[in-house]
Formats: sequence, C-alpha cells, structure tokens
Amino acid sequence: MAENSENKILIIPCSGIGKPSGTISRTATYYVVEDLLPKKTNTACLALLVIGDEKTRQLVQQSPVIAIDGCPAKCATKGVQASNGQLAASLNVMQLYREHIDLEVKSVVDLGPEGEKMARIVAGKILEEIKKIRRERNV
Amino acid sequence: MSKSKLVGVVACSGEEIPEGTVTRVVVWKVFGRLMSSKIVTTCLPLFLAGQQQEREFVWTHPTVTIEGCEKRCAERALRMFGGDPRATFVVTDIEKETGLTPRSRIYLGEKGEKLANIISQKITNEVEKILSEADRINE
Repeated sequence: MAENSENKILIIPCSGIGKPSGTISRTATYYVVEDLLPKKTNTACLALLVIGDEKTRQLVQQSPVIAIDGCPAKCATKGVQASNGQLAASLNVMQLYREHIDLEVKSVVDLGPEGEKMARIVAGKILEEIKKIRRERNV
Repeated sequence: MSKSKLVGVVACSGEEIPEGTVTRVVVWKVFGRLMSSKIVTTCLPLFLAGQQQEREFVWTHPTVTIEGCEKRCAERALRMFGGDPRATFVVTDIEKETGLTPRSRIYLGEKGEKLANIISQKITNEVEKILSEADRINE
C-alpha cells in the first residue's frame, strides 16, 4: 500500500488491459509520480481500492485524487467515487487522443515512440490539473 | 473440472509496483504463445465496476489469475463475485524462485522480461492443461 503524506496528490490510472489507452493512462501516471513530481504525487493500486482495501480507501478519502481513465467505462473515476474519495479531477485518455489522432500507438504492451509521446501529452494534462488543485487548495 | 472451451486469464495490473506491470506483460505473452481464440482477458476494475457479462463469465468458465503481490487482488475480486480461479500465480513468489526482478514500473528490463517469459510459460502450460481436460470431457 502506498505511503502518502497529506499534501501529496494521488494519481490513479485505470490500467485497462484490453486497450493501449489503459497503458497510456498508466505510463502517464508514472511519468508524473516518478519523474516530474515525485515529492508531490503518488499512486495506488486501483484493484486494491475497488476490492475494498481499507487503507487504500482511507488514502483516497484523505488526499485529492486525479483519476486517469482509458475508456468511456471510467473505471478509475468510478472506483474513487465508490470509495467516497476526494475526486479532484478526471481525465479520459480516449477523449484526449481525439486531438492527437495522427499519433500511431503501437500496442498494449509496447506503446512505441508515438504512444509514449501520447503518454507525455497526458502527463502534461495531469500537471495542469495538479496546478489547478494546488491553486484552489492553496497548497 | 470444467467442460468450457474458453479460459479467462486475469491480471491484477497493480499500479504501485513493477510486478503489476509484469502481470500485464505476462497476459499478452500468454496470448502470443497460445495464439488461440480460446483465451480471453478482462480489465479487473471493469469486472469490479459491475459489468454483468464479465461477472457471468467467471461463473461459467475456468480462470487463471496472475498477481503482482501476496495481496492477490485478482483472485479476491473473482471470489467476491462467485468465481473460483483454477490457478493463481504470484509474481513475487516466482521472483524468489528465480532471482529475477523487474527494473521499474515502466520498463521491465532484461531480467524483468526473462521473468515475464518464465511466468507466461507456466500460465500457458496451465491454460493448455485446462483446455485439454475440457476437450476430454467434451469428447
């Protein structure tokens, strides 16, 4: 289970396994929590949250959460909402991809250079949401 | 024993740990090894979000789960909704057996890829065993 100080923003991707957009949501999350803002962000296992793990539920209730969904089923958003989490923002990779339809994403396992580029675009959108949250909450 | 001609392979996809990424890669390697229309997978959060079709599948078909850690979220999720996995593989256990660990959550690295290959072979063997049992029953 992820350790989280109260100021850290949680980013929870859907990690859907049937579509590359799930992998994009996951990769974009790692770009932010590992490379761009490791001290200000964290992630948690969505599966652990949705099976009702108490510590993970507490985590999403105590921290602002950005859900990154891979498709219209919105599993990450729904998982946070069902756990009474502090859903601060939801991004949908499919929706964002519509503006970058020229990018050729390779596969679920290997996004390829253009899929990774799409993941960086999603990471940029996550950073914008983080700025908004920090401005609104004065943190 | 099941006479089903279809087997489900379900990964936890745990976002917090590199082993979660291994579970995803393993699923696709199993698909690649078998090249069969007799195996299917599903997004675990989608299953938990209440998609009736996915839930009915685990009542009527044998499943194999692949877990990143000892929390065994995929197995627990399936059992929550009446499923009974035929086999469960835990990546951290196989890491101990083989001494192989993935490099990071984004890139498995050479050892992580080797680990994923070993696990995918184990699961492929299990799926083939289940399918051959079903063939015998259906004869």
